[in-house]
Amino acid sequence: MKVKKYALIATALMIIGATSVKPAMAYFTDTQRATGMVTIKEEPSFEPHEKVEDMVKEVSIKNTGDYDVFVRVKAIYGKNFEVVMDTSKNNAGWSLKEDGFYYYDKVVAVGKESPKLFLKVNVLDDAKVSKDFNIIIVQEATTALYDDNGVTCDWNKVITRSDQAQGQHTVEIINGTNTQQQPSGASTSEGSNSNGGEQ
Amino acid sequence: MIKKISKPLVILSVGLLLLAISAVGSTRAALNARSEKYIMQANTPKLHVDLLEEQNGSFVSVEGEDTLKFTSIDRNNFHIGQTYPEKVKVVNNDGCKEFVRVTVKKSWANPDKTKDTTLDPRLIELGVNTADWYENPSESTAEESVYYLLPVFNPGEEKILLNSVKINGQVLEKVTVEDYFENGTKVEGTVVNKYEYNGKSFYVEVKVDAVQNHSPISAIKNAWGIDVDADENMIHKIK
Repeated sequence: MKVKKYALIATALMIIGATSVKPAMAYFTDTQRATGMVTIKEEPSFEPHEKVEDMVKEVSIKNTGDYDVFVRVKAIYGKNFEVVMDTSKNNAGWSLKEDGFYYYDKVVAVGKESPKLFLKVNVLDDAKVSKDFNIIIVQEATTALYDDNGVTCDWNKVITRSDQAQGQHTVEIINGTNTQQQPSGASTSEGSNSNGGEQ
Repeated sequence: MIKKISKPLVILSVGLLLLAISAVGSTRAALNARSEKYIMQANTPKLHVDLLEEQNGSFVSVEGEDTLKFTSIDRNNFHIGQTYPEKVKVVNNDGCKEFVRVTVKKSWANPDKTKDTTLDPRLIELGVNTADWYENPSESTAEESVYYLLPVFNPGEEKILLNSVKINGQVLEKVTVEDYFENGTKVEGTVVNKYEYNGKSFYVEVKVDAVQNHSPISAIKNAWGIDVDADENMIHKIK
């Protein structure tokens, strides 16, 4: 009987002890949380600007996309013509490379336009020139690739987005004056394997 | 006297009575303790940890949604592949020593801010100051990492957590070519590049937790749910 009594007392004390310990189990803590986000825009597009004056073709390319690009230009023309950089004008930043493209060496930032490239059209033999002839200007862009060392590009990844149907312009030069033929809806944009140069 | 309380029922009743009294006592004690704590706030330090981001050249305390501003990034001309400075630090602006850990989460979000689980969070590269912060590999995934400050964090001390942010250039390679449609009609011979990450947002969440350095093993277990070997000055091992 005594044992039972003590057991009951012990049980009661144990319950009391357990309930008393619980409030003492809290620890001091603190927390703070913050979030943030930034939207990525990487859709490139561009818009060629051209005009012809005194057999000199002025070409520039505006970055109308939301990502920086590099640009290049190529002239395609017949054998009786010669298209060269007009050295009497300022073509700073543009240079002709072996593949026949004129490359602008700096990034064209979003919303900006490249400086003008002045291309002079020379007729080699006037007697052979027909009434109408075409000089085709191919304009291409590729996305600027940034890394910790700066910015580069990969011309094997030419922007293809039909390229807005603006990747290529055809320019008709008729007897020294020109009418500019806007591109059709279908893309004729040429990649880096373009068969440019003389036709 | 003994005879009078010899019935077990009486003893049980006494026990229950004591239990009731103790419960009341505990509640009163808790109330008293809380009252004391509130009073003591004016006089003694309490545990507190702060998270700060460098915004336009000066550190600002950040807490809550959209409070990380990434001010070094030009949002109208963000360069994928470029490393941008992004300084985030943790400060013990409290009078007590504490142990601290940080959970960093990163993911991609759709324009409506819902999470896009199809895109790779590993392409969001955060430059973490691993010289001071230990990343526990067993708690880390592609989307979430947990970093511990192993030495005790002293009052007034601060530690840089993040140094930079970069979106990996692979993002630009995630391009698919699709047919081009104009007014619902497919334009033959014309294709359109679809950039997978275009219009998506990278999302970063930083959460800092602090716990007292007294009774560190049980305190850390209780607060963070992990087992550690620790004394009041250092977490020696995370089990």
